[in-house]
Amino acid sequence: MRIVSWVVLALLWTAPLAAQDELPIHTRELANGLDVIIVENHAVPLVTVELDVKNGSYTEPPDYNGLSHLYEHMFFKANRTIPSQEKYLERTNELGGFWNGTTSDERVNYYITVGVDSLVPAMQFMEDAIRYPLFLEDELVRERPVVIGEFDRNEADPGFHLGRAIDTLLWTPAHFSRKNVIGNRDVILTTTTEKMRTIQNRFYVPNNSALILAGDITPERGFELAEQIFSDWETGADPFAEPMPEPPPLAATQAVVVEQPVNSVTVQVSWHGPSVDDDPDATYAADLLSTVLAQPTSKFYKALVESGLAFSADFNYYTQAFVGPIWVSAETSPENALAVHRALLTEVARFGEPGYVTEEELEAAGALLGVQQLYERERASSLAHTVGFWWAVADVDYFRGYVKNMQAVEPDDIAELAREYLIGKPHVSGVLISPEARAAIDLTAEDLLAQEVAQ
Amino acid sequence: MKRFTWILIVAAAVAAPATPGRLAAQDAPAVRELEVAGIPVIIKPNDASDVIAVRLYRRGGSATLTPATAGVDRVVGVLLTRGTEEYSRDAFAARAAATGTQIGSEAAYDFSVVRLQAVAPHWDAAWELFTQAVLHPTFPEAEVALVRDQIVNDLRRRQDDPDTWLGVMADSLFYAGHPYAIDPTGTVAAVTGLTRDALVARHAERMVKSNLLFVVVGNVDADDVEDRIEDAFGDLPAGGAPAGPVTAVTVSPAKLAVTEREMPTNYILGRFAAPDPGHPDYAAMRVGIDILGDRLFEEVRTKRNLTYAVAAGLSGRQANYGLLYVTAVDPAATLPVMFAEVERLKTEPIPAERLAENVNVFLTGYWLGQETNMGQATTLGTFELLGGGWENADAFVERVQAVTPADIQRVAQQYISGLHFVVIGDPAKMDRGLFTSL
Repeated sequence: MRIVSWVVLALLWTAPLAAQDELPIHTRELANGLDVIIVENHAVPLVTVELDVKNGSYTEPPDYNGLSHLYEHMFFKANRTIPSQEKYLERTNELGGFWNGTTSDERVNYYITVGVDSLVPAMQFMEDAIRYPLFLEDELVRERPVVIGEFDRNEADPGFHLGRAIDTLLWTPAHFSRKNVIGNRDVILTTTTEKMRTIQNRFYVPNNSALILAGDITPERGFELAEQIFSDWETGADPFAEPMPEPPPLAATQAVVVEQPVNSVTVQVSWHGPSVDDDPDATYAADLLSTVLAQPTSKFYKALVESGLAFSADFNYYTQAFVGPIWVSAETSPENALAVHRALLTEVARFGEPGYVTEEELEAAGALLGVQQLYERERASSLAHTVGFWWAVADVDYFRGYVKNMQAVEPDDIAELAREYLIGKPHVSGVLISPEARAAIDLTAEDLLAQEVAQ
Repeated sequence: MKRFTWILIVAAAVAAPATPGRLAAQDAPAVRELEVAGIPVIIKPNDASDVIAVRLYRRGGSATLTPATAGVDRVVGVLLTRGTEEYSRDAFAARAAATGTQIGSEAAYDFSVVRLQAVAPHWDAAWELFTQAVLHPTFPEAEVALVRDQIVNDLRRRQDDPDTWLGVMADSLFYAGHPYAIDPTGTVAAVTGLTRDALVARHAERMVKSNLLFVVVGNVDADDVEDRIEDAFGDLPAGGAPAGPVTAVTVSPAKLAVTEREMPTNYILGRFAAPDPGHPDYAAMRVGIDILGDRLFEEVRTKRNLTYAVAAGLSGRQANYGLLYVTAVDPAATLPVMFAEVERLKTEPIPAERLAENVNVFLTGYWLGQETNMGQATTLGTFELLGGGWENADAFVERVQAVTPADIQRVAQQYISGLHFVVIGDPAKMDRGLFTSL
């Protein structure tokens, strides 16, 4: 049996693919400030019409927490052309459309995918929805329990409770609303049409929005239609003339144990990571590191999973303009919970050591990401969402250069990321465990903090 | 060997007014159906991108398992990439990463699949990894133990997510006494007891020519694919008769099973026996369920605000089912609205205009499923194994367009009754008489 070594293979097979430089993405800014992005892909006769807005929980003080999301629901209701949500649904059927919307921390998007023959009416349909919502009182009142129903489903997921507990500590209770997308029940249940108008007037302006047309369309045709349909949307005041507040620095390491009826144990440790505007190089390093550590060849995987300590373990970074979190997490058994927490911290501390991540590992991960982007390009409908996300949190050029910049990351960049954001920095540890398992091992937050001291 | 020009049938299918318009891939490729060294192969060359998708089906799912072997195909599938005759686990992973080769597996009720996704510049390396994984896995003891523990943990965790566990409960209730009662994703007891010898034997048993089906879509030369399959798979044993179809589900009286859990809402799923993808009624059922789903969204969520999540659905198994789903704080108020919509579907003809719109929406969904080469390969493979032949992947579009209002009423009356409901939530809110009334 011949065993081929990892290093040799990496050197042999990591030639980047030339196609990475040819992303079929074209951009233009209309005079009113609307960014138009065309993603060209003629594989199937469909076009996705997507609108992205720089809105989301990061724009929400406590008395607006959850209202970017409620607004997203109201997008699909009455406007000047369509008198009710029932008629709205009829219209989407007439267009043969698949539609939806999503809200996240720093972006809200709306999209409809239609056959190419329905492109123009679909664009007009989206224009009516974004520019001329009526915010009928009865529709708002009726939509509140629907959003609460979504809230209920979140709370039925045990993992949601761990995330909320950690995030409240990580971002501080005072700033939590800016990172809490689902929001606050009371705020949702008592909101008014006036608040909807306040959000619309400030954020739903062309100079804070992007129109994405993805699929069977040429850039020339797309720009022409965008000009025809969206150019008379009047420019608004700069929504960010008064900047959104930055998350306050994390003052001290904290820990929390969350009890839920679960059959496994989740251990997570979270830090404040880089902001894309302030430190883009660190964002590339963090994303590439997550790919390296996900490989079963990584030291991280061997220490956590191959050792038998955990069933799975991963490293994540969520790219954001206003401080993206970095977190490591693992699934394990109750008896290994503390050992896994210790091992996670130990491995993170090693990120700064020479040779923890090798050049060969980085090169292979960069090549892998290059090919993955080719796979992503096949699906124009979802690539629209990806491009919209990057437009909102960074810019389209960031996405254009994403793979190339990742492939330029070196071991020193990883070490620098670790030193700047992780090693010796305050963080929040959390454990999700059943009440019975917790009692059996007598686990407390202090136990987790004691391991911090030992580090 | 049959030749099939995919574009012609699809072009005819979308010629109706107001359907998604011109076909972008004007030079869309033909599908080739071959038999290579006794193995059926479906190839669709497509140079629209560099991506190549391969799906190697092994016929037979739950019906080939016993309670003691539930999950064996899943465990085997994961282990195929954890060490081969040529590569250690790490060497295999490194080469796969460096070439962007993705090899995965699926263990389903009617078949299991090993899938390969690759790009043309690395096709040679990807194919070599694929053949190593499928034909020369070594099942190292340490990896067997690791994977077994990981899957057991995953099986335990299924209970934590209400939607996942609802699906497990529904399978258990709906398929009681049927071969599908054996869950191909496994049970804790069965997976815990799987030995390396059992895994090796199972893999050998499954890798016989009579059991296999290849589907390849992407930037490939069909003759080259044919040669590769012949070279690599030509020496496999012929095998006996392939796994046959499973029996249909026996329709039994309505049932309700409730699992108590303290949550802010109740998760509710009802199933009924439905025509399979190869059945003449499947197209009408598909359209009827889509319309029912739209109406539930409108009546239950939009007009009455009783939920965030309500749906109707139709699965694609050989012994098939349809479903009603909702999460509701007040089931007593919500279910009657849902049941009224089912009755409306049975008793009121769908307006012709509404039916035409639904066909438009269906076509958009159909094309969304064809965006990727892997999506196209999945469609071809599913129709070949469960839908009466891969040609029906396109003929199905025509069948959907031919559905009449009377067809929908008929299938709704024939199939949507005697639902088997499973619930996770508050038992005090569940009126058994209401749940079993449809």
